[in-house]
Amino acid sequence: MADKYDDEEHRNKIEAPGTLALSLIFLVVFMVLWFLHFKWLVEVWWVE
Amino acid sequence: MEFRTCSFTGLKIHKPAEDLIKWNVITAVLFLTLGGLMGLLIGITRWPSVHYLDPTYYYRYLTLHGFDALLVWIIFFEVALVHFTSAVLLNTRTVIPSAGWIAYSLMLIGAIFVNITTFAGKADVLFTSYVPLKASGVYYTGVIIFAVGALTAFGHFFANIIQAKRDGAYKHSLPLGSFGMAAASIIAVVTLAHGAVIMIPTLLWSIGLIKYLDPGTYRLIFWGLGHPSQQINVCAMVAAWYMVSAFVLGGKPVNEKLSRTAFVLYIFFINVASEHHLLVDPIFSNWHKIINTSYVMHLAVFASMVHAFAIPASMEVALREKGYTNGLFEWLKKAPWGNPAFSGTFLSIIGFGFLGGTTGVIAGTEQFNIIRHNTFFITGHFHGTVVVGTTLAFMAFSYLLMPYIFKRELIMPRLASVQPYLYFIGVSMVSIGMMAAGALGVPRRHWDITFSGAPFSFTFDPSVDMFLSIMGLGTLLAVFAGVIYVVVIIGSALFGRRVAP
Ligand code: HEM
Ligand SMILES: [Cu+2]
Repeated sequence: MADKYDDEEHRNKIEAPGTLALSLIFLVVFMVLWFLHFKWLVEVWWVE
Repeated sequence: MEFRTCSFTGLKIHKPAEDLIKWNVITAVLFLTLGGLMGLLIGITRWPSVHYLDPTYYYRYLTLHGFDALLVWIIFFEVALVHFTSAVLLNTRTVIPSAGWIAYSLMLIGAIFVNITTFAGKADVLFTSYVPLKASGVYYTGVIIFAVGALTAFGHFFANIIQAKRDGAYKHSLPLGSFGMAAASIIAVVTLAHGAVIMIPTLLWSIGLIKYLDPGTYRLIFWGLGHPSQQINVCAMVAAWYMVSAFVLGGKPVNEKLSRTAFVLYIFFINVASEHHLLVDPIFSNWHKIINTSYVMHLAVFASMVHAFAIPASMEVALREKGYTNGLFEWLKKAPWGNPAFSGTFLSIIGFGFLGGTTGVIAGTEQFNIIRHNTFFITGHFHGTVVVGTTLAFMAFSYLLMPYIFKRELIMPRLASVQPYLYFIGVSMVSIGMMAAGALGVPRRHWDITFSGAPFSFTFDPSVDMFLSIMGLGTLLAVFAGVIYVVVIIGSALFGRRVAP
């Protein structure tokens, strides 16, 4: 199992560009959601 | 003839292992049915416009829901995975099958004790049974018998792999699915030891042999059982993810060493996260709480991130090898979305990460925990981890077990192929509804959030009703999808068309 992807040739290659792209998209979406949510939290708890 | 060769996977399957897997899976599904029914009843009770049960039954069924869904369904299924990964996946036999049956019987007897006592109204203590809430001695006895059975079952894992090594079934290290279950079994031993340490004195206290148990001490040791057992679930779920990727797509881990390291991180760090249940308790010092929530937690989270990247990546690599190489996402479009084992696994990964994982990091942060503790947010968080994540992953895996182990085709394959989607949407609504209401302060385990008759009046933000209604509608959808699952699995096991052995 380990053989195929552990050799020199593969070591530094991105094998799964789609997954990488998805991760980056999700990362950005999550950061946006987090800050929106944070703003909402602040409103709910501290603004009166 | 003790062995047969599976026509789908080429695995050599030992008959006793096969029987143990079958019985554990079916028993698990029956308890999921009971737990799901209780989920329906309490779900529509927390839906303000329905508010179905009266308080006694709400707490009684909430106790049963927690116990049957979280412990009985999940652990029986994990025991099936123990036998699958320590015998079937290694093409070897299961040693001392009778020990497997003893474990099975103990777990079943323990679960029945707990269910009967609770239905009889003698244990309305919720599955955490915090002292000084007191249940009948039969309840604690049931929990202890169940835990001893589970300990025996996880011990079986080690017996099997030691024998497999002697038989030369594997050379250097275990295949990844078995490695994940090895991590699960190691954590299980630690966890169940805590269970014994706390449940035995609690039993003695409930029958009057011990006069006083300190609630703080109880909570401390209980969460040595309660939290790590969630990490057994995480390891078993991740192991199931890897196995589905391998069986359905021929996917191999992109970097096996990295994936193994991530499992080892679970063993070391995730147990420490038990502390997040005690952040508002006076037990720990601030130093403890800060180290725990600001540093150690993230090492465990890091391990989940590794898996969350490695598994889709392994799927992508496998699909690209099948020729879907156009652009960034052709592989994703052409993936077998109609196969419930695949779609269930994929949705489980997404739901676990984005509903359960992210919110867990929020709730596990000390500063946030102060305002989130004991709100519905927490309940929403763990329906993201343990339901959208673990339960959906196990459902997906059981769709593979039907042909591989039960030697039956799925009945109603069309319905089965939409089931993971419906369940995912339903439970996501439950989870998001709970979290939103909880963020506005709605408490968990609470029958009357209008506080009628209280000396001071209090009203929540009006949007709370909307969020709780989203949860209520999600409850109906999730239960509907749960019924499909149970009918398909039990129906296939009994009446599915036989596949060639
Ligand atoms: C049909 C799907 C489900 C629905 C609609 C549902 C709904 C609910 C509701 C409404 C509560 C009560 C929260 C409260 O009032 O404090 C709850 C609690 C809980 N649920 Fe579920 N649930 C479902 C499935 C599951 C599953 C599959 C598991 C475990 C694998 C699970 C584990 C739990 C646990 C551990 C609790 C906490 C019990 C307690 O606070 O003592 N649920 N659920
Ligand atoms: Cu925890």
